[in-house]
Amino acid sequence: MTLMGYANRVARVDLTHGSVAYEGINPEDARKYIGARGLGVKYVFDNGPQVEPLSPENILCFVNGPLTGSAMNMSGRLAVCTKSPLTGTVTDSHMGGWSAARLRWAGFDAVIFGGKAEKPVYALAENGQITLHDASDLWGLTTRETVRILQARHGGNGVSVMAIGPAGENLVRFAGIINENDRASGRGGTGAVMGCKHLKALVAVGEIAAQWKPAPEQKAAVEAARKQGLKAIMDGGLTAPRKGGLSLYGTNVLMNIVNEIGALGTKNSQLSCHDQAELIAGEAIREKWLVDEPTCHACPVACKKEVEIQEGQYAGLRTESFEYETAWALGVNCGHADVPAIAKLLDQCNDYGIDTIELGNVFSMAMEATEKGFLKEGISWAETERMVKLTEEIAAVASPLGRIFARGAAGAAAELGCPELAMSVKGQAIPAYDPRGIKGIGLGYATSNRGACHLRGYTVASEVAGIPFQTDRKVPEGKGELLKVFQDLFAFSDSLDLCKFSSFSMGAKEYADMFTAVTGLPMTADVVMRTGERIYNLERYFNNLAGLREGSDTLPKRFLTEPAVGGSAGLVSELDLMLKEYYTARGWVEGVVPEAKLIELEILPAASAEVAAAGPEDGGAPAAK
Amino acid sequence: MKIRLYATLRPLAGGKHAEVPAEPGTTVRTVLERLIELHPALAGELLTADGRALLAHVQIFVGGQSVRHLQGLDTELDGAADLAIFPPVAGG
Repeated sequence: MTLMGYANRVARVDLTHGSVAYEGINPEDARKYIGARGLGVKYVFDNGPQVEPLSPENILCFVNGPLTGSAMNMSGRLAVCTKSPLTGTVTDSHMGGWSAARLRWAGFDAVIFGGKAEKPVYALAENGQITLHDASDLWGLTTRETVRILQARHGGNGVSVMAIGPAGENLVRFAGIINENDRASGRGGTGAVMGCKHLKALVAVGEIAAQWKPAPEQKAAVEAARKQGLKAIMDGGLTAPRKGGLSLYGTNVLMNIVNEIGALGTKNSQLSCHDQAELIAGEAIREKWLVDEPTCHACPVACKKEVEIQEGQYAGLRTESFEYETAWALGVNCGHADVPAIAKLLDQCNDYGIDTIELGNVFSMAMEATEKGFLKEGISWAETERMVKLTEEIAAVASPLGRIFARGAAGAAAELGCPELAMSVKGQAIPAYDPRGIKGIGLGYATSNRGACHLRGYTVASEVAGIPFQTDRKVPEGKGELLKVFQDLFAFSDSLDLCKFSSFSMGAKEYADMFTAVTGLPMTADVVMRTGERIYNLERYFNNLAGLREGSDTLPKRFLTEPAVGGSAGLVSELDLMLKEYYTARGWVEGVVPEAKLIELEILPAASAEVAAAGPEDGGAPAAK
Repeated sequence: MKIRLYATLRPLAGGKHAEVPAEPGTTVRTVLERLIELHPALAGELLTADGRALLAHVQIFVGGQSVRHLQGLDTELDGAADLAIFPPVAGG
């Protein structure tokens, strides 16, 4: 069967033996799981939920979607999928920029790494072939140094390099993978898995001339779908280039409104607003610090914001992207609104290959632990120079504190004897929304299949921004069903792989039209949601089999028992109420997917003799094959 | 009454703040009409063409509370309250 739109080429790289095997995409998997996140999760699932994350047996998948590298708007992303060393769950972490497109133009839908190289290597993807090369000279270098050397070696600025820095090499549990545009596969510790495999980088050499081109009979439909998406973006109050709030101020357009409503976690979420938050908000960044606004392949929005520091000890520093999450995590979450310090820490994270959200939460946890006496000679609130120094030590795992903090907020808090101070779910730290003040996102953190995450189901769009319709952020009722819709829709768009922000202008119909135009496969808005549901359930099934079962969908105690202050004063998260509604909407039993649901969604065949009989009566997930 | 403006509203109003007269009991609708009189560039950014409803995705807060969950444009204001107005904003 010909799969239109796909390269129909997947490389399986055995790093232990230095060999590469090639295969196509199973058409049935393409139908059921689409690509990128969905297909990557399927590869990780098939590899086995019991695998130890930091072992040669784990696999690391770089997976494009069927739209990647095409002219479809906001399609310049890929998913990195693996079993996370931070959470023990399946994880997918997406990067933008040009890497996804170039990997596709190099001839690949996916490159899957297994095993472990004896010595450091990097992989080169070019003309449909993967070759492995010695990376001994690159080991120990930062991501930017690695990018510079490998671009010079393989063709210059038009070459993509997805690299780890020292943090990944040293198995920091929240190490990420950074590309030549400073875009990150940030969350979940994908960089540590890469480091464990002694894989320094994946280099993609691909020219736009190799871009997928529609057959003559497809051209009209492809162009119509592209224009439909473009019109939605251009007309969108948020996304309109050079006019909408997201385009002008980036993601950090959120800082002021989230502070206004009292949902901006401050000082490790002891407070929920900060009187100086405006200093680090998108408006202030645009007015004082902004120097460039780069964008990703096929995206007219240009939400990335590059800053230059003009004063103080970090004068001359240029770095990107000054995102909302980063400014929150490393700024007000740690008790300060110091733009140069945040920029310095962001720059370090890009250089060393570190997730800014987890790092900020490590520091805020340590600051509260110091304040409360759990950590002697630790770190105080707003102690930015010490944050910079400790970031070096974490990346290098080079000091007692660096070693502890390299485990992430939850791991470090446990080691310090104060696990309740980690604002984490399933081992991954929370993003920049206090779940007491925005009810649905709290449920989203609790039920995310990759640990605390706002991007699995971004109910903030509805609860704060009124997109696609307004719900009341303070009301828990209805949030279970609302979240399910967001989670399923995003599971599909992540599998195309479209930027999350496309959902501010587009919806299931536009996604379906683009998919059908490119692949020729039938798709409707209903099937979009059904497919997203299937992917979400496959992830949950993986996690159930990996040991995450009843009771694992929860929030830090603080959010359940300590009332918020500020615009959300007095609120706590009514998680139990929302979970009950959510599980009903999902058809799950206490967080576990029943066999009947797996069959209904075609994850398991209807009459599989190989499937264990643990059924919905006891809430047990069927055993893996 | 002091009004705080954010994001894309600032260049249209020429600054972060605006001040309009508002006696106790003035509604949000009246305050917005006075604001638009003061800064005509804001017309079309806040209210529907017929002036009867807030535009979709525009958020107005009084003391951190969204007027959408109070009495909407008919919400009456304490003369001392300050108002925060946001155009469509979201990110991630």
